[in-house]
Amino acid sequence: MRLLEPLYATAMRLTRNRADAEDLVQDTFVKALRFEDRFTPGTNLKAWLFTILHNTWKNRLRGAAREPVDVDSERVEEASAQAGATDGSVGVETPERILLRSTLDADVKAALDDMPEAFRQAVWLRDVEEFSYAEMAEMLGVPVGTVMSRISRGRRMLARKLRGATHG
Amino acid sequence: MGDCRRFLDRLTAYVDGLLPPEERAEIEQHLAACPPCQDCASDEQIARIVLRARAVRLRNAAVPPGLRSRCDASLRGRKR
Repeated sequence: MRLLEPLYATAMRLTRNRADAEDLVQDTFVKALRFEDRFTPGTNLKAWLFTILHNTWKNRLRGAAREPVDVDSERVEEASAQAGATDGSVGVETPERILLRSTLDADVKAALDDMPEAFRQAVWLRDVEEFSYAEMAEMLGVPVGTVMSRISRGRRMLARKLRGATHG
Repeated sequence: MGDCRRFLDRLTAYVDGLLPPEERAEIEQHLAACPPCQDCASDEQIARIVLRARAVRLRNAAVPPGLRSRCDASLRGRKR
């Protein structure tokens, strides 16, 4: 099953630990098989599976009350924007090519894992999995405008973190 | 900043190259005159380039063998 790798990679970024990621993928897989008659052949199987993955994760968080689910809160977004702004003063002139060359996959994963969930999810789904804004809106159950705003803030946050990482 | 909001809302679509030419030109005109918005645009572009350059490796995580076999077993169970 060729979608297992991207599902697991995404689960790792959502849960940030291997045991939870494995459970999440397995639950997603079992649900997909149970509800396979709800999938319309010819539509996007990957988007359908990712929607199940995200819903399963959301339900788990709700059940465990590990993290607030209302990630749309302006406060969360403002707080993280400000947190980023304070460490954004170093190395502003860094050329992107140097950053690209000096950044390791592990740096990127660590920077992503350090971001609030809503932004981590948004940049991952857009730039790694390459879903459209509309697909993401459906998957995450939020308006397209919210999706775009999360991608924007998430990307800027990530750039600042990576710049910080390469400059020690 | 109130005026910048109008541009920042469309920054992602701009960076993704999804805006029609006239909107694109409007954003570029604003960016040329507004260093803070230009910084935002550069940061978005940098993150996008870094992630997309690594996308294939990032999304192809090594699946633990145990997970793969459990998923295979569920699949076989369904086909029976």
